[in-house]
Amino acid sequence: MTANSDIALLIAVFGAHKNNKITGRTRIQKEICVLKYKSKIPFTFEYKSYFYGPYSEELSETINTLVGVKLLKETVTATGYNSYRYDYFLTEKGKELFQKLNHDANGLINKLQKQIKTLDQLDTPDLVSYAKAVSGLDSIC
Amino acid sequence: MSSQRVHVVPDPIAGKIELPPWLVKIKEEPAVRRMLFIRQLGLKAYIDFPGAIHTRYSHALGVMYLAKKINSLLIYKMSEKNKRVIEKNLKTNEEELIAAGFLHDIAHGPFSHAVDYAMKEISGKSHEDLAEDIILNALPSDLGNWIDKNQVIKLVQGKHDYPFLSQIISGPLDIDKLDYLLRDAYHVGLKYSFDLDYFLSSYNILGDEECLNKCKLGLEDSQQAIVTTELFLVIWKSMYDLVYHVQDSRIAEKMLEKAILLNKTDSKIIDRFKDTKKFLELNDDELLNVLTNIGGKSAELVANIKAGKVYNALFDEELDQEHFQMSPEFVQGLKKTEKSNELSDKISKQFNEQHNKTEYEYICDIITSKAPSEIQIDKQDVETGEYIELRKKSSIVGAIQSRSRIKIYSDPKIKDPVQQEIINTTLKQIIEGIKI
Repeated sequence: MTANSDIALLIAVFGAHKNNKITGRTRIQKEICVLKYKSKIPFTFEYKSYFYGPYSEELSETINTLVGVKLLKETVTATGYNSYRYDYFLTEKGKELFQKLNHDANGLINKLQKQIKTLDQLDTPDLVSYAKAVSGLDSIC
Repeated sequence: MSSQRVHVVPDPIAGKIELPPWLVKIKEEPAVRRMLFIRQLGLKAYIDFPGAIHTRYSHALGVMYLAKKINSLLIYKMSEKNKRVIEKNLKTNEEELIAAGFLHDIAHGPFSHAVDYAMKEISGKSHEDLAEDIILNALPSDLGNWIDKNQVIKLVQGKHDYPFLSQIISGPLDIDKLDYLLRDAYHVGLKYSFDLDYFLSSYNILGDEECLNKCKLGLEDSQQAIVTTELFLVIWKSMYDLVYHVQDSRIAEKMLEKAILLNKTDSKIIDRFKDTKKFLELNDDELLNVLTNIGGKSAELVANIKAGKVYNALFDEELDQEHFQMSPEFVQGLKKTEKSNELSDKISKQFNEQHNKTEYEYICDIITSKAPSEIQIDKQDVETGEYIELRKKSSIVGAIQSRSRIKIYSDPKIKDPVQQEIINTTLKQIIEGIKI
């Protein structure tokens, strides 16, 4: 039987979001962290303590690669002086892959949608605190 | 202390590459220098990717570097697994493997893959076939280091007695792919993170070492191996969509192919492809000169390519049974690049005839995005004893499917090109009537 590993799971997480979009790099990092440590979604990304709590360089690199191969699109919005927010969403090609992966078969999407609905209710500082709590990884300063 | 100077060249992908003594000996041979004058990505540098000016030579160096690296890694791994026979075999064949890495593309035609089909049509030989002649006759008889040229040729042609060795040079996980994906992405400006060392550490040789002729290059059975291979295959697939099959460059390549094919019975062209000595003088610039000097439609096509004026993309449709009634042989043919080039050329000719146009005013193109070949992991099926295919373990790999599209390009000089519906009907008729 085929299994979902990191790329398939990431595509599923985006597919389970409203508009297939995640707002901000911090939210991506912390959401995947909660899904890994709390919901036991089998991501292999290794997390470590960083400036704003748990952070995975591998996840960051994978997201960049998915942007590079045009499965995800990155948009940049200025939020202040020298401050930007990076949003990510599935491209048409990404949506096509999401459909092909047929995650519904094992109920993954339902599970993700429930978790994401809960996480969406948290603002970013609360999400950061929650990710710290479930992973046991604090900020390094 | 040895007085022999170590030759090291800088490389944007590998960092530094040390040239083995045999390469220092042959690096000024015309057959080797010629690779410096063949663009790795053919016409793509002239049309869509101005940064893609890297050559077959730098790719050859990169593959050679990886051959040494993967061989050392596999030797270490086999030693750890106590597979002494394979370990010894890798050690014995190391120099041949490294030489095959460097020489695997020595017979590539000008503009790399753009002329593959025309070259085969004219000379009857693929670049892998022609490599045999070049390695045997255009390089010094003794490369040194006890390198057995015949073994090198077998490795280049994928015909070595031990498949796991051939598969290092040509196979689903070959180092050729590893180098060209990284090198091409770097030069076209496509950014992605891929940890090559991490990926290589997932490689393994599968099978009973008592039967070396059945051992294959595969992957470890680990989550790490699967995750990294998925990433590799996603990148591989995307490179076809975003670079190798990008529209205008592809059209230019088809125009070049047709500029050659228009003269396939002309001795000036035949000699250049059939006579090995003359072929070795044929690089990118020289081919354009030859075609320009021939004049007529070929010269016009070359002039338009140089001017960046490519044919118009007129029609683009998925080539599946829903749209077209294809014979099983036709469908089978689509899986092989050489055959689908032959089919599209046949369709081009019939299409122009039916619409009263001269040869190649319309050009048909068939583009197949391939699914990854069979990759096995180090886990055997309990019932069959066969190694399990990665496709059965990974949803991502399973989702990468082979698809073909058929396209029609038209000479911009055609004032009133055929309408979409008529193209569709004509193609249906032609495809149904094609007998293979």
